[in-house]
This record gives sequence, structure tokens and C-alpha cells, in this order.
Amino acid sequence: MLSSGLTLIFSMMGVLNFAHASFYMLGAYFAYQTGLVFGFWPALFLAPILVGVVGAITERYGLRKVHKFGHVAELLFTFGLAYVIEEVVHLIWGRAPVDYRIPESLNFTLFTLFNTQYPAYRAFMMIISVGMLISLFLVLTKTRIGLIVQASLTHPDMVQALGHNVPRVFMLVFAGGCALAGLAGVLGGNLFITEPGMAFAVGSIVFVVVVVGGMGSLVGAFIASLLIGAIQTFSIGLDLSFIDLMGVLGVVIDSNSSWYAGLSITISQTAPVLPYLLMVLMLIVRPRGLMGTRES
Amino acid sequence: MRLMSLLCFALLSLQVSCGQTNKEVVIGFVEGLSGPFANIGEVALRHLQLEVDEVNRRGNLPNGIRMTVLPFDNKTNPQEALLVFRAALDAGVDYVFQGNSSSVAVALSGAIAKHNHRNPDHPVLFMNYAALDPALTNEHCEKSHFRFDADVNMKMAALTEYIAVRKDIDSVYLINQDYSYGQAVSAAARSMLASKRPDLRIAGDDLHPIGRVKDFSPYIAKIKASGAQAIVTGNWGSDLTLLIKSARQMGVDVDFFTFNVGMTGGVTTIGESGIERVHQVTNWHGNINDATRENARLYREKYPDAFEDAYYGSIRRAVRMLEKAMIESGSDNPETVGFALRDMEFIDDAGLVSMRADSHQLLQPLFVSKLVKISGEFDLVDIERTGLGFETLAEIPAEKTHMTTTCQFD
Amino acid sequence: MERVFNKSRLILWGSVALVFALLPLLFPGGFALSMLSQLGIAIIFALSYNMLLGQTGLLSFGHAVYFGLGAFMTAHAINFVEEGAFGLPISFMPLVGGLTGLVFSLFLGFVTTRRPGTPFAMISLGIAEMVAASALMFTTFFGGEGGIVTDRTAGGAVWGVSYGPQVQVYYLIAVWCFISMALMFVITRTPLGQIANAVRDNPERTQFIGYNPTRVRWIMMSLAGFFAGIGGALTTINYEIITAESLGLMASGNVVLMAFIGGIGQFWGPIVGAVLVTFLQSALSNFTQAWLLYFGLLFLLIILFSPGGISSLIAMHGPLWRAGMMKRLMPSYVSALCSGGVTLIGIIGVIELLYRGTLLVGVHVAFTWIVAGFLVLVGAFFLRRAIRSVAQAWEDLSPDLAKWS
Repeated sequence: MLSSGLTLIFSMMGVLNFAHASFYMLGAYFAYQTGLVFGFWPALFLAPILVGVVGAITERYGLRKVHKFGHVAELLFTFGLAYVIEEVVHLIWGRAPVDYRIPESLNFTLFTLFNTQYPAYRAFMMIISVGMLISLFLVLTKTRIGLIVQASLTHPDMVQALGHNVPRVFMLVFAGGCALAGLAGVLGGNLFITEPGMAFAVGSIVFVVVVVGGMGSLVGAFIASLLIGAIQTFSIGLDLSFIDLMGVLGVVIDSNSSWYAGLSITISQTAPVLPYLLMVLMLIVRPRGLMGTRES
Repeated sequence: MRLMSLLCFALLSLQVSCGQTNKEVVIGFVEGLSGPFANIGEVALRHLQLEVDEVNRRGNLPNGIRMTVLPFDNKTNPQEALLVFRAALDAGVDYVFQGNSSSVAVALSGAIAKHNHRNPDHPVLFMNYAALDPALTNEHCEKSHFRFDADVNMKMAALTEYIAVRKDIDSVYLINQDYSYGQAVSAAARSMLASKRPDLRIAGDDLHPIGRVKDFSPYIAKIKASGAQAIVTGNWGSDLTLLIKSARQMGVDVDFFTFNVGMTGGVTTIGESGIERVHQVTNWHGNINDATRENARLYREKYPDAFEDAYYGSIRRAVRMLEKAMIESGSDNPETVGFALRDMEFIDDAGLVSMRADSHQLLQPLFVSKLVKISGEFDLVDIERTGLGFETLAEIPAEKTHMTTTCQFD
Repeated sequence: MERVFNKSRLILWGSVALVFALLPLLFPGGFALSMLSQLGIAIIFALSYNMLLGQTGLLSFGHAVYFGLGAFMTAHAINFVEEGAFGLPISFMPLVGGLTGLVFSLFLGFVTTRRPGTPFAMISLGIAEMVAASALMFTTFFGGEGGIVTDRTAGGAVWGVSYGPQVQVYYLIAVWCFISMALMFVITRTPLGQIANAVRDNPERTQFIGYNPTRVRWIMMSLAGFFAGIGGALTTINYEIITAESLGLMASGNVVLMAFIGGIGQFWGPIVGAVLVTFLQSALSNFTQAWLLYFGLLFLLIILFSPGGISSLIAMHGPLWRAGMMKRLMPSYVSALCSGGVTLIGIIGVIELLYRGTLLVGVHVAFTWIVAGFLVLVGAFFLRRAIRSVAQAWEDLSPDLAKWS
């Protein structure tokens, strides 16, 4: 269930960005580095800000130039950026995982439920994720800033004409999205593992959440991340396969038959691949996603 | 002037080998040196370089031959490996060292055998120090291939010998990555446990896609519900770390039996959460005896800035046995050396090892060890400066890991 | 209608064939031959990808799926031939791969081509993830980690060609590469190719004039799958082993890079990209561990400053060349080249120093650091001026150029 909280933070931007997971990784590494100097708590704030600054620079000197060439070029730019960020991380921190740990003050068991301990740090993550979501939702829908941001996304020319600096709004939105990804990295990096491969590991699942939820929809992303978390959790618990299904129907397949290997795959085995199946089906049936309002 | 110095630097950094004489044996290190597994490749390269330097320091090779190492980046991809193998041939490589990734090993082994068949005047030997796929010494075995690590089945045989003695464990859970290696671990564990501990219950057997699971907590919940006392896993890299961290965070107190926890970064990332719980089966680790400790210290002295510690006992054995084979045969021709290697016995720091002539698989004692906190009273070496290290629990003699082979050299 | 192969084109294609035939004589080494074979395969693959991206406007992140499936099917077919199940000379094995690619892209294309743009890209990504994951799970068909091993000499020698020596394999690849290139070129000139362009630029209008954009996309995707499959089959024959990596995301990403770096606007763009990328990957990685970084930076630079790829940069100079105005650009180009070169050396120095930072010690390191940093700064300063002068030179030229044409 936790990965849902994590992926949620990612998907708020609604911008398709291959490098988004790389900003997540940068967040974890920055937090590790600043944490060495200042400790975990200042790092929790510093690292996302740093990532946001990197994001702003990326937007200002990279994406803005590519923007006029269209969506495909933007997507490809972030694709290339992901490569570069990964290599730069190799350069600076090396290829082995770094020892980024959960702070001692949060490293205890919160409560025990059905014999399973629930660590405090996960609860802390949950609180921050949901808190961020709610505040972001409020900012975007209830305040004047949110109004301008939303208007800039849909009617840039009009907003420009009204005297707002639309490119700067874009830059700040992008930086904000990156900072959120960075925050996710700060929180997730020590719970999971901080290594150069971590961006690749989460990269595509983030896409799935954004696409299934509907691009540009916060609520959709929230629902989608819960949905995907639930699907994965429950399917891992199911040890059923086609063989069992056919056994119920009275068909017995010899374990030597060439079909056996394919059909004996259990649902739990495929669990981590199911989100992709969901994404493909969703795109075919309802390309705009669960709550999306636009197609691309 | 500045430009010149930079050019010199560039040339140096391009590893242009100058002044190659005839009295050199070229060892081609064909390994992933860029991309996600590059750090593992670099660690192995440092091991190889250390051993080769030692060989040259001793200077016992016939006719005053020296060894040099030429690294080639195979990008951990079988096809790239075949391409750089050709480049290695053009550079005059006589011995190829590789080990990370069985898919690359199978490809290289086949290509080297085909090369030897088609170019008998320039034979090449393949020294495999870590690729564990049993096929390499069974259905895909080649005369030019030698494996110095124990394969999956041999390691599992050693592990199950140990579990057979641990009567306090009465149920285990198998969780593995869903690809040929993980499937092989799972199958071997099932069959060997069934014969050695018929009373033992296998509480569950899960396969998960490799590198795709971010959060293992659902799996851990399932393991918890099954009531297993131990987990047997062939997982490596982040799949292993996440599994162990997740279990400890959720307070699931089980023993882990693993194969790859000592790999670079493993101990650092698992850290405290693995103490007294994480076990491994290896052919070498730093705390077997005084000789291994000495070798571990030697590595750290040579590479004081390196993150990792000595890990690959098989590289050491491969180079030393190569040296011995050259001295005994008085030649550096890979074909002659290969004949000398094929039934060689050798005494290394951890005991007597011997090459099997029928499959070119090294038989060696294997060790089950446990991750412990190194305290002052023991004179043990730690890993990656964590203050944690491995403590031997059992030594499984080489003959217990003898497997029948389907290999037939023609 | 314009004839597809007029005289000058015939000469061009003839010389391409000649170059293909003569290359092994110029580069007879083992590594060079393998490299050339790989180039041929990369060219087919990149061109087939450009049928999607360049011509039909479909950004796919899963093109290696068809490449890989074709390769696996070919591997099995060769093994069947070895067992004597049926007979098909190795020379025609690429057809097996092509047909496999065709069948799968027909099937998958049917559901995925309804939407262009980002949804299509996402679907292709999802499918690529699923296929890559299942390739590792189903060890019977995909051979697990070791992959499927074949022996290309299995069918025995036909007309004295056994495919034992690499040079024979090279010629097989060259012939198929040439045929595929020619066919793909012809396709761009057919009404189908033209309509595909129209679908890319404006699907709605295409629909108004009576074509079904979905169907056009579907056909183009199937054809692209067919050619990708041929490339895959040739890979199997070349390496005699095929593993799950070849249909993974990395392989798919690679072909995107090739097509884009070369340029998707020209037919021959992806060829340039394929040659450059394959060469860089193999050659650069022998020299430096940082090749991925250089590679990524090159890609970013091209997207930022020349979204049409290298080929559009070259094509841009075509009219000037014909008008004989090239020499007016030369001074600014030379200065840009020099300052760019200095910057490049500086940047390379910094990157290499970073990569080797832990391995080198001593006074020289500090010195090289200073030198490298200095070069970057000085180079960048002059590069900015040079770029301005290049832009100025172009501006000065444009009125004359307009007059000339």
C-alpha cells in the first residue's frame, strides 16, 4: 500500500516526464548528502528545494526551448535527461548504493496489527504524502495562485494577455513537481534503497499511475495509485493459475506438456506486471484515464 | 604545452597499451564496465588486477612471461560481449575472464569454442569466475570453459546440508526472482530439501519478476502468515536488500539463507537489520581462517580508497591455478595450459580445490556463514567498513557438492 | 507521377550497393567485420522505426518487441532445421523473422494504433514492459538467462555458402539490408507512404478526403514490424544466440536514440543515426566508462539545437552547396569548430577526471583540473561568439539564397 503513497506524489504534475523518476532519485541522494551535514530533519526540507532548483533550471534552459517543437520532442528530451542524470549520479556518488538510513527517532514500531508490526516511518510517510496531497489540492483549487496555474495550463495566451508571466508560471510548476518528486525520494530513499538504479525501478510505474488516473488529474492519480497498490497486494496473495482453473473445469494438463510452463504461471507471479496490463487496457478503452479531461 | 599535457593525459586515460612485447600473456577482462552493473564489474577488475600483479611480482612464469590485463566493456549484454570478444581477439587476448551474468557467459563460452574450432592457431580459454548457470558445465559445456565458482546446484547442496543439521528449522519459505536462475534455485531447493530433510515443510514458493518489486511488504505478510522460520532466496541486488529490510521493518524474525549477500553494497544497505539473521553460502569469505583474513587485509591495503572488500575467491583461484598450470606445462599456449588445468589440484587459503576433468567445474569446500557484528574480542575482518562481517558456521567439504554432469567433451 | 527510381537515384543506389560490397575488403579484421554486420542490422532496425516515427508520427517505446520476437522465432526455426523438422536455407531465414514481426505487429497494432501521440507511446511502453517481463518468465520459449543458442551452419552448405566465416554472414546481412532499404524507400514513394505523411501531419483532414487514419497507421506499423523482424532474424544469424535483453526497454530506447540523432525528417537520417550510434557505442566504450554520459549529452544537444537530427543539419546546406555559397559560411564555421573543440576537450577532461577521481593522485591531477576548467571557460566564451557569427553569416546569406532559388 505504501508504494501508492509514494507514486501519488509523483503524479501530481500531470506532465509526462521520463526524467521524473530521476528527480526522485536526486531527492534521495541530496537528502543523503545534506543529511550527512545537517541531519535528517533539515534535509527533509533542503533536499526537495534543491531538486526544485534543478528542475527550474531544466525547464528554463531545456524544456522551454524544446517546447516549440511539440510534445514528442519534450518527451524525448526528458528521456535523454534521464540518461544524463543517472550517469551524473554515477559520477558523483559512485555506482554502489549509499548508506542512507531512517532516522533513529522514527525507527520504532508504531502498532501491531494481526501479528504484523507497522513501522512508525511508514506512518510518517503516509502522513506527509496525504498532507502534501491535500494542501496541494487546496492550493490548486482554492487560491488565486492555483487559479493562475490552472488557467496558464489551459489558456496560456489569455493569461499572458492578462499580464501574468506564463513561462515563469510553467517554470515554477515544473520546479514544484520536481520538488515533490524530490520529497518522495527523501522519504522513499531510506525506506527502500538509494542507488543509481532506483530511478529506473520506479520510472515506469509512475507512468502507469499518471496514465491510468488520467493526465492532469490529482484525484485520478490518487485513485489510480490506491487501485494499483490494491491490485498488487491482493494478487500476490493469490496462488491460483490457469492449471487450477482448468482443474476445476475438469481438464487436467500433463506437467510434461509444452503448454504446462505457460499455464502454470500463478497470479501472484505476475502481480508486478499487472499494472502495465491495466495501463494498456485503460488506454485502449478509455484513453483519457479514469478522471482525465484531455487525451494527451 | 597545456594542450600537450592534456593530450598525454587523454592518451593515458584511453588506456592505450604501448610497448607490448612478445613475453606477455594477455588476459581479456570482458565484463560490464558501464551501465547499472558497472560497479560489480569494477570490483572484479580490481580483484583480477591484484592477483595478476602478485603473479608478476613472484615472477615464476616460464620464460620470464608477464601477465597483463586488458579490460573490455561488454555492457552486460550477450551480443555486445560477442562484439568486444572480436575486439579482444584483435588485441591478442589469450585468456578471457568473465562472470557477471550467465547469459553473457553462455554466449561467450559458445563463441570461444566456435572460435577455437575455426582458428586452431590462436586458441583462447574462458575463465568463468561467477556465472552460476549449471548449463555451463552440463548441456552447454565446452572444453575451453573452466568454472571456478560453485554453480547453483552445488551451492544449494551445501546449504541444504547445513539446513539438514539445523533441526530447529522445520519450515522454510522459498522466494526467488522469476527468471532462469531464480527458478533453478527454487527447483533445487525443493528437490534437495525433500531428500535431505523429508520432515521439513516448505511453507511457500514464490517467484516475483526481477527488479520490478518496489515494496516487498505484501510478500512479507504472506510469509508471516505461512509461519515459516526461514527464507531461502537466490535474490541479488536491490531485490535482496528490499526483501530483508522489509521483513525486519515488519518485525518478521526469520533466518535468511542467501547466495549473494556479500556482493558489493549488500552489507552496507542491509546493515543492522541483517545481523545474526542473514546467512550466505560462498566459496570464500574473509573470516574462514587466518590465511583468508590475511588476503582480505591485502586487498584493503592495495585499494585503501575502494568502497568494497575482497569478495571473489574464485578470481584468486582462477589466476593462481592459471599460474600453476603455466609453470607446470612450461608454456603459455592456452591449449597446453588448458590440458594442465583440467585435472589440477591446488591448495588455496580456504583448503584443497580440484578441477573436474569431466566438466571443468572446480570442486571446493563451501562455507555457510552468518552476518555478525564484529566486536573487539574476535580478530575478524569487517566488510565495507560497516563493523559487520561474516562468521563461519559450517564448512561443507567439496565432495558433498559433487553433482553428476551430462557434459561430454568430444 | 514521378518515377521512383530516376537516373540519378539509380546511380546513388548503385554506389550504395558497391560500397556494401567493397567494405569488407577495406576492413578485413574480425572486429571490423562484426561491427559492419551490426551496422547493417542497426540500419534496418532504425529505418523500420522511422516508418513509425518519421513517416507516420507514431512515437513508439516498444519497437524492439518485434525485433526480438522475430529473432527468437528465427532461432527456433534454425534449430528446427537442425533437427530436420523442415528445410529452409539460412539465406531465407530473415523471412521467418519478418513474418513473425508482421504477425505480432498486425495483432498488437490493431489495438494500439487507434490513438496517435502520447497514448500510443504509453501503450507501446506498457506492452514493451509486459513482453520484457514475460520473456524472463517463460523459459521454454525464450531460453531463460542463457537465451536460445543456434548454429547458423546447421542447414549445411547451399551453393558453397556455409555461413561459417563471418564474411559470408556480412554479405548476407548486406544483401538483406540493401533489399530492405530499397523496399522501405519505395514505400515512402507509394500512395500509402504519402498518405502516412498526411496522417502524421493532419489526421482529421486525411479523414475528410476519405482515408481511415487508424487503418493507415495500422498498415504502417505492421510493415515496420515486418522489417524490424528481418533485422531481428539477422541478429540471430549473426550472433548465433539470442537473449531476452534484445526485446527489452533498453533496446527499444536505443532505436529511438538512433532515429532521432540521425534525424527523422529525411529518409537517410536514421541510417546516419544507426551508423553513428552503433559506432559510438562500440568504439567509445572501449575508451571511456563515461560513454553513456557523452551519449546522453549528445542526444540532449541534438534535441535542443537541431531537432531534425544530424541529417537535417546536412540537408540544410544542400541549397547553399548548389548555389556555391558555402565558402561564405566557412570563416564562422572554422571559428565555431575551433572554440567548440576546445570546450569539448575541456569538458571531456572534467568528466574523465571525475570518473577517475578516486584512482589518480598527485600534483598532476590538480594541474589537469585547472587546465580542463580553464579550457571549458575559454572555449565556452569563444563558442558563444562563434555561434553568433554563424547565425549572422546565415542571415547575411538568406537574401542572396532567396534570389538564387
